[in-house]
Amino acid sequence: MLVVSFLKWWYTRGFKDYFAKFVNLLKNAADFFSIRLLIRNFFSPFRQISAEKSSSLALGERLRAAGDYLLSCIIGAIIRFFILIIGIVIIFIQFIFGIIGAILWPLMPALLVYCFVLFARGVTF
Amino acid sequence: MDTFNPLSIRALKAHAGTILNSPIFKFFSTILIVFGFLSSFWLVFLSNFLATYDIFSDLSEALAFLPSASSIGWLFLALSIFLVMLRLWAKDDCDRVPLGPTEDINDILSANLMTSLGKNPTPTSFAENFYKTRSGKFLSTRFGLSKELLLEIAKTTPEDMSPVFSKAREIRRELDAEVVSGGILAIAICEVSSSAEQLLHGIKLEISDLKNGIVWYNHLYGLVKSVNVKRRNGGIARDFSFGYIPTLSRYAVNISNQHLRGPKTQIHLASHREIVSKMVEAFSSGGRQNIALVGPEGSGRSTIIDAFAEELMDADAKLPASLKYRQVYSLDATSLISASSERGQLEGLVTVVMNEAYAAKNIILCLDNAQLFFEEGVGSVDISNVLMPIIDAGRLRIVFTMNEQKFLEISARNSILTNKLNKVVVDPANEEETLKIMEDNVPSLEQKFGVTFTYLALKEAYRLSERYIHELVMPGRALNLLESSANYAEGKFVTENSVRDAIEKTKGVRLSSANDSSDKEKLLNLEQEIHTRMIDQVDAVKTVSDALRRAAVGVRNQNRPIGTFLFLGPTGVGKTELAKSLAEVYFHGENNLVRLDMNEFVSSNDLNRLIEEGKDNEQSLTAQVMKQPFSVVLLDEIEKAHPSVLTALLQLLDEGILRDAGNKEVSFRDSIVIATSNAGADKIREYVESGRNLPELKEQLINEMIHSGQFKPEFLNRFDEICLFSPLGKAELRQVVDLIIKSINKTLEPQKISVELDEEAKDTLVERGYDPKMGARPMRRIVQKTVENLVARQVLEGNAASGTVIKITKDML
Repeated sequence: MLVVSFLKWWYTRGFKDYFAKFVNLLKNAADFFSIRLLIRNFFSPFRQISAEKSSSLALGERLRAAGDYLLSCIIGAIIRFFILIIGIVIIFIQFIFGIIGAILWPLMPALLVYCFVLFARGVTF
Repeated sequence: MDTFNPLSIRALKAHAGTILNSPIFKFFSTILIVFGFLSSFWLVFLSNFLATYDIFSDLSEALAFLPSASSIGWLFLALSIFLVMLRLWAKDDCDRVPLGPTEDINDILSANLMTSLGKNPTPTSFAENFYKTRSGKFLSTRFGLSKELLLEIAKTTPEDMSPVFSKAREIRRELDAEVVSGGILAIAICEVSSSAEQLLHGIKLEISDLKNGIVWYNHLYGLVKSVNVKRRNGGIARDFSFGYIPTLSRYAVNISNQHLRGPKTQIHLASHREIVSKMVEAFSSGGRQNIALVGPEGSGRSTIIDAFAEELMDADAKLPASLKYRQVYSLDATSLISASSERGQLEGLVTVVMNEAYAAKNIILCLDNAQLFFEEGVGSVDISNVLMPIIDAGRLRIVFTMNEQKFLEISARNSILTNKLNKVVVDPANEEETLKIMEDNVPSLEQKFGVTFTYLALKEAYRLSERYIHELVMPGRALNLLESSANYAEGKFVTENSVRDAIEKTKGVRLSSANDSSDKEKLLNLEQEIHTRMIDQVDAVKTVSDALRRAAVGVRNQNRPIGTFLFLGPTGVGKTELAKSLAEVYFHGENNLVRLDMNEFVSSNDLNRLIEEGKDNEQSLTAQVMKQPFSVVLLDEIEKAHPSVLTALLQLLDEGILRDAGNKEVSFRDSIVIATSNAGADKIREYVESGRNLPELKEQLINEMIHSGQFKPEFLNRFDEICLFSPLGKAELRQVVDLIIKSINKTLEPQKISVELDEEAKDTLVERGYDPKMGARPMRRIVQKTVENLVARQVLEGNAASGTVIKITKDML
């Protein structure tokens, strides 16, 4: 009875929980690398580093402020790009492993039996 | 009929979980899994690979003890897979066995409980092991619910379990608990027993307290689980779009960063939760970008700000983008002021800080105790001229906190400023909310101090702090006391006594009262105890003693003083002496007497002096009682006090509360209040001299005092008892002489000299000292003067060496 209960758990709640944990892991990684924020603010000035913008400034100063702002945006975009790439790569690796796990999960009991049968039949490589 | 089935799937899973989640199994299974995978990998793949290509031959030889290239590799692999599956199952399904589909007891028992119930459980067998369950241990440790107590009430046959299970099911439903735990089963045993209530009273508990314990346990269990859940806070690039704040960081504390880990701040007050929502709403709308949290100290303003800061940093919270990941910085007024030597410098610094906060675009400034920024004083400076334009423009989000009094003061000085603030009132917590807040704070306090708090300590902290801590409101005052109590732990436990010790030692409040056995003995013989110090006045002494006995056993209104008495009678008949005797007998010392001569409060202006704050006048009535609540409060010559003073005393007599000049409630609920008056003294004397009984006069005398306007009826009605004191006759004065001689002998004790008077000498002294109008007072003067003079002379003449008994005769006087 316990074996049946175990198998029932394995193919229902256990599998569901595995997926929940897998999704949670991806979400945590996405949060750690601030993926959504990086995309949303990709071209925002980095750390608000830019000269003061004001309509009262002379044309030259306004141009310089605009240049500063542009530079800050470019720096921001570069930094964000690299972090985004690293983040996406790591999340992708996690995803691949997660998918492998998800494929293996339902096969595990069968795999167990299969390995045992191979042993019992004395199969060698 | 409810019966436990130890072979049910849930029970079997619970037992399997105990084995599979044990550290020993985990340890060995981990080794086996690693070994299994590695060896199978080696056997199945690597050895073949190495053999095929003939590389690493040395390594192959070294590992030749393994049955290389044999089928056993498949067995190792199967074993590893099996163990991995088992571990996953044990962790997820067996640790907290999920509920079954029905309300059957076997479907709702906790896994932990099922493993400790045994095959044919009886209430007794469960009681033997109840502390082995997690919640049982919790109740046992924090509530003192012992195995012995449960064994005393638990029945013995397996059939007796059925009503217990049924009751447990009801309790689970009532408490909205997920499962029937060991704690719930213990409570069910108590509920089905008729004698449990009485036994629980013995440990000062009610069934409802134990149920609170289960709610507390389940809540803590949830908190512990939430600690392990990773909180998402935006990640490494969260602040990339926001500016640097070097100056602000020096003068402010980042509240948001302090709450990134651990369980979320719990808010138990619905009104406080509403305030957090209101703050979110105010800062996400286009209106005035400020909030003024106005509430007394200790009401939870800081907790609200903490919860608000946490909410903004929560990646999963449903918030407008304009508020997400905004950080709350609490500005430190003291460090700002100390960093600026000149006035203009401070304003410049504040401007820099504000500009930085604005430019960073993710800062919400918190000005805790905001009055420090709006008034001139020690540690505060008025920079409203700098802040006003910022508040006006509404471009920087600011949270102000202050108490109502300060808000009103600022409002009176600068109404334009306060009109621009979104005022939100923070209400103090009630008892139930305070207890929940304390329960929440217990784990962090326990971790900090390495102690365990009992439930009764929490309740005592609430009760005592409500009565004796005046500078804070709930829940702050109870938490403050609870934290202090950790330093007075008994062993590793913070009990009621620890809380009492803490309030006595940290607040200077003396709590000793009549509650141990010797005190009870004293109370039973109160009349005799008092009469060792004073003569006659049998009726008055009995009236007072009866009232105090009633009070001591709890047959009294807890929201009034222990007793309130008005003593009427001529001077020198023992009114003050009775008050002193009560202080001695009831409160263990004459020092516990707060005495005020009411003839010093004859004008309406004197009322202020009566209720002055302790910092201004430590001799005021409120200041003395605040410091020493367990006292006899003696208001001598009450008839001389101004009517406004008497009116102020009405609340004291009625509710046991008097507000001091600082509007703090001072409790007189642990005091005996005695007012004395000579009003009607002549009438009493005439009445007694005419040979009539004094008690018959009482009503007539009260009516006369009301008609003559000496006292208002509402004032006299406030007293528990009005006691009439009869004048002392010569027979009584003779006994007074004995008492005075006794006290003189006590004074002479260090010199080992004593005095004895013969009967004639006593009569002479009584004749000389008798004054019907003045009572025993002249008697005391004459006896002391005469006898002490004689003793002094004898000592100087060398007739009274150590050990001498000086016998005084009539001729010597």
